[in-house]
Amino acid sequence: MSEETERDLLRRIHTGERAACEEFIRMYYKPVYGLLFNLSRNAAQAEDLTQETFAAAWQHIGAFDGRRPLGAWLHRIGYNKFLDAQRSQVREHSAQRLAGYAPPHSGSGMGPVERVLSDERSRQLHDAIHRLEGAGRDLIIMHYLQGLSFREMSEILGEPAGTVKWRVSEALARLRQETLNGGLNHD
Amino acid sequence: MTEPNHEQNDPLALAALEEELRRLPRPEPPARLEAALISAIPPGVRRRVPAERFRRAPLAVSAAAAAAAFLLVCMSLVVIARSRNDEAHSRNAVVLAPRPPAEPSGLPRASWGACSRARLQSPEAFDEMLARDAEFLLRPESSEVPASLNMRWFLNRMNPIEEEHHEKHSLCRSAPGALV
Repeated sequence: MSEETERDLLRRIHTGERAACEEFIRMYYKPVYGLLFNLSRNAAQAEDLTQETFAAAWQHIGAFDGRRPLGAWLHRIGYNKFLDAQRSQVREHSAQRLAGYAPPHSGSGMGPVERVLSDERSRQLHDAIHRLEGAGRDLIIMHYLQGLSFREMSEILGEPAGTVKWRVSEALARLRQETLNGGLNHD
Repeated sequence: MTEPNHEQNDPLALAALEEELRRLPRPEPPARLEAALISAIPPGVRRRVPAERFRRAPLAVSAAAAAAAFLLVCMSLVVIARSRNDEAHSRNAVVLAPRPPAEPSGLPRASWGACSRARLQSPEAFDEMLARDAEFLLRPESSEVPASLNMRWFLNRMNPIEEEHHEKHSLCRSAPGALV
């Protein structure tokens, strides 16, 4: 989406045009859902977080000046929603462990990732991504699975584009090691 | 954290991995999500106050508040000064208010204008008053302070006793009706 189109869409949203708001949703809800699904590996959570992301966007879009890319701005909201949810999950699990409560097992049926990634190799690759430590997982998902540019990622993560690029290449090298350890070969 | 080694950094292998990552299937959101998001659009999505004006507003508000506070302080100072002035006036009034009644001769006391008028109206009464004042100034122990004593007026006319006047000045000032 060109900057001009994005500015025009934002201007129409700011004038209160409902059709522009619907266009904004249709344009971005799939990438936002994709990011949240790939990060959480949970379809229900991704759906909830997508709705929360757009609800927050409607709250703040009136003050958004359009100097940053609209998509990156929305992804940033979504990413922050995911981080918040992850933090609250960690707190919840810690409390459950302290209370000696074991969450019910999800069963042997197909999970959301299995439904999306039908072949074994894709599933193994996805698992390897989620085994990455630190922010490596998020960087790989944003750049390769979501197709976000380094500039957009720098807007989302609040880091210079050069730093993001270096961190992505470093995360890719670690993923390569993970795939080797897991028996996946790309030669 | 695992340090990348030579095998990990093989450019061809990394390029193949990048390609494979890009080809991973994209998750499709459920159909109901789009409808849910559209139905959740709030009715009043509009541009809010421009950022620049928004930033300026608090400055204007603070300037107005500062001006109001300054005005309030000035008004308070004026009120305090006026009340102190009134207090001082009332203190003076306590000293000066109980002016002695007029003498039987009807002459008003202890006023420059009154003395001048007395002199013009009744030279005898005036001379009598002058004599009383002079007697007091020459022998303050032996006589009461004359209510009509007006030191400045008196000294203007009785230069020879000026030195004695200075010695008794404080006493004379405290005399009722003595407007010096």
